[in-house]
Amino acid sequence: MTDTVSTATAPQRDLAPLVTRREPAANPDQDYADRVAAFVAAHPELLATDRWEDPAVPPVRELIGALGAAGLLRAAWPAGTPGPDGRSPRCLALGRAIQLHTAFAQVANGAPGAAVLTQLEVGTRLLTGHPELLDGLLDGTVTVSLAATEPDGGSDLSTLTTRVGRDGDRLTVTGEKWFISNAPFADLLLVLADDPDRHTGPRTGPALLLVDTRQATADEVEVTALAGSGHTGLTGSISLRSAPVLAVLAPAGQGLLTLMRHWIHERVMLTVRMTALAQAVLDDAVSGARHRQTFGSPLLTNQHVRFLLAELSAEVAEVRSAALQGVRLLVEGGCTAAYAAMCKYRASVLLRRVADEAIQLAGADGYRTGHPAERALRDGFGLALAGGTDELMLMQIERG
Amino acid sequence: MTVLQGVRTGWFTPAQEELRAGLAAHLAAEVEPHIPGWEAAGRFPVREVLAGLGAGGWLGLRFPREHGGAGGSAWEHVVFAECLGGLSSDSVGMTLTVHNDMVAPMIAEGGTPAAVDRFLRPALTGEYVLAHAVSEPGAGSDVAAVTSTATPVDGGYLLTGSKRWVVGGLYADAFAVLARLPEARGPFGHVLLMVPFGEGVTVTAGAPTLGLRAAGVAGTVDFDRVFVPTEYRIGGHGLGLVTQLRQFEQERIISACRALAIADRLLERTRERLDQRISFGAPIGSRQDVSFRLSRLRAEVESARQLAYTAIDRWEGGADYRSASAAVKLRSSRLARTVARECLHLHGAAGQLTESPANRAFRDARLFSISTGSDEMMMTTLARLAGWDD
Ligand SMILES: Cc1cc2nc3c(=O)[nH]c(=O)nc-3n(C[C@H](O)[C@H](O)[C@H](O)COP(=O)(O)OP(=O)(O)OC[C@H]3O[C@@H](n4cnc5c(N)ncnc54)[C@H](O)[C@@H]3O)c2cc1C
Ligand SMILES: Cc1cc2nc3c(=O)[nH]c(=O)nc-3n(C[C@H](O)[C@H](O)[C@H](O)COP(=O)(O)OP(=O)(O)OC[C@H]3O[C@@H](n4cnc5c(N)ncnc54)[C@H](O)[C@@H]3O)c2cc1C
Repeated sequence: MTDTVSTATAPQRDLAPLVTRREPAANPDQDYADRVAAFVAAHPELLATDRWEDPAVPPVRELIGALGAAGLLRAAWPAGTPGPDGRSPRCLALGRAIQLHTAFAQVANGAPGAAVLTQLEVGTRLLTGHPELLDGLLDGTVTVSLAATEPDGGSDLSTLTTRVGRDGDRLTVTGEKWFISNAPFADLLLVLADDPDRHTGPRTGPALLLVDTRQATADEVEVTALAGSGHTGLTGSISLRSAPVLAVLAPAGQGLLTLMRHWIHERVMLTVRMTALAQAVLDDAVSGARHRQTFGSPLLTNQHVRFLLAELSAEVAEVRSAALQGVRLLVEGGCTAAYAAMCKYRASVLLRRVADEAIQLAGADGYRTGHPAERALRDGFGLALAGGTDELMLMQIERG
Repeated sequence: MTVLQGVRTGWFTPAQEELRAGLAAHLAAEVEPHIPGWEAAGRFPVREVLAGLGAGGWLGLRFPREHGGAGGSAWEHVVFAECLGGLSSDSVGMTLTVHNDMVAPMIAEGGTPAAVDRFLRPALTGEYVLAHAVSEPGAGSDVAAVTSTATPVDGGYLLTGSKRWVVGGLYADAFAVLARLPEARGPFGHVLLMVPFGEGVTVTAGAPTLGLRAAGVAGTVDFDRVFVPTEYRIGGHGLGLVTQLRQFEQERIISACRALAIADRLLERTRERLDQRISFGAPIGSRQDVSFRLSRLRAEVESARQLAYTAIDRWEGGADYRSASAAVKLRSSRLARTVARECLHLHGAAGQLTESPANRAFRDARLFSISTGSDEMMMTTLARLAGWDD
């Protein structure tokens, strides 16, 4: 009874506007969702699964160009005025980015989504302060990659062998990078390089440089696609030989700090994508278990199978909630590196687990190249390294 | 490291350890160096490999001398399996296992003299390649559901049906085929037939797979009214399924030994790599969490290996090894899968290159939990043997 009384006398507050301002995934932008769906429907060839399984030619440039031309990248970029419901441009943009990455996790086994995420949430994001470049990046006429990792080490970026140099009055960069997403298709490279001679600023340490591959000779910048088992055809190695530096994005000593601030955003958005991938694989596994017959009945009639799928769906729901909270915190500017790392770590474990179990449920069919679960497992191993490895995430969580 | 493998464990005789050393040296010199090339080409010269093994006297070690074997025991086949696990391609390991430990034993134990002469002897000299065609689109886990049909005719059977996923199918000279009899139902309605590749047999390459890319896996093997003489039948008329299931129980222990040897090798290689690779000023392998993960898996591999040896001991001693067989197949398959995943991840980006051994190991090892009795079928068997079925 007291409950009723207290409810009746409680001050009346309308919570709805507050909730929608904080919740980028609530009240999804239906118009944007329709545009993404129309884009997917209009580009069956570009998004054919086979084209993204062929290491020679994933159509990355074409996809980014088409997405840009359709205005879908720009719409997912924070700019302009608040929405009619009071949501900030940032909130609106990230809400649409969630829609974009979720939709792309469901086409062509999720493969094209990797290239989209690299363009929008990595390269373009790092060039936020360069309005002269943003137009091309958001229109999809210019592509970009972030090149930090080297063959001799990716976890520890404080011991780079790529170096800033000087040739007369122009800055150059020399070194080897590998496993760089979208590198085989990149116009712009954001290169992390050591600067022991203080060419870029008063301090030493890693600097972040901009290299325009279109302005470099084939000898100065050589990119080779790597035959990776995941992210088929999407990563490359880069040889830089006194390659001309177009701009210094962060001077010596600041390069790694810039990236660390950036990675908070990247890791949260990676979590959104990985969770959507896990959901897509799980949905496929459920439908497979409904249709696959063994011993005269559908696989789904076995309790073991139902419980396993139920457990996986709970895990997906959990990580998705964590990811959406991450996006909320990004909107408010309050997401910590530790929280982003928790999200990325959980999503990376989740994706591999869901994919592995889904392969098992599909039997020999799941072992086939290009089965959704098989593809997700291969990509999942790449995603447990890209954007910071599981172990690096654990170190970050511990540091707070 | 292989701490609990070998003569010091008390399981193997000095002669068996000598055998291990000789065979391992042969494989390291004659097979391993070619693996990167074979994997890149997507096929390997199985005949050449088998001929080398046959010349060394390493095939069919446990089969009677009068059948072309060496008159040894299952322990020699454990040594053989563990040596195959030392190879960096399980396309090779699996294809040779099908030949030497799945099909050959059925002929040695249940074949007529004519079948022994026609199939087993040349198989043990390595001139003749054997494959195993059991699974069908609607009969993977549920082996008894095969629809390929052997219709009795004068002097034999007419075989018609379609098999799916056959390791070495593209290389094989003959297939062991499980088929049902036209009218029969239940467990006593099948026959096992040795069918030479030839007229009426069509082999088609399979879709590309995650691993086993050089194993010559046939996507389908179709039999169209192929006449098979009675003397090529393995086991009795109507006893095909029973014969097959018995053989699986033995083969699973041997396969488990190969899976555990693979896991053992991967842990060792990963440890070597991480002891060399520096991050944040120290070898990655010196980090406590990394060490603990590798050590935990090492302990699991070693204890699972004791289960495998216990199962072999029971088999050799004439005791009931059915539940030990299912248990070690389950444990070893899961372990090979877990170890391969963990090692792949710890190789960082270098392990992401498709041709790298760590990557191949992960892709190949994932099959253990699916083929020759999936994890779920092993759990089903364990529950049934324990009397827990619904
Ligand atoms: C698909 C894909 C896309 C990628 N895209 C990009 C990109 O766009 N740009 C870019 O710069 N890089 C990219 N990378 C590279 C990625 O960032 C690196 O692979 C990653 O940082 C790990 O570096 P490494 O491979 O050198 O591993 P290593 O540093 O050699 O580490 C090997 C393993 O040991 C673990 N480890 C390392 N140190 C420790 C420690 N102290 N304690 C415990 N464990 C440890 C690591 O987590 C890892 O599992 C990509 C990688 C992949 C696979
Ligand atoms: C590369 C490769 C090589 C192969 N080589 C051969 C070969 O040489 N010869 C041959 O005969 N076959 C071969 N196979 C086939 C293999 O034996 C089958 O894939 C295996 O038996 C599983 O059958 P399935 O794929 O039809 O899966 P299904 O029987 O459809 O089962 C799918 C999944 O569901 C699980 N499951 C099934 N029923 C139940 C239940 N009641 N309760 C809980 N879980 C259940 C299974 O364990 C499996 O994980 C090969 C397969 C592959 C991928």
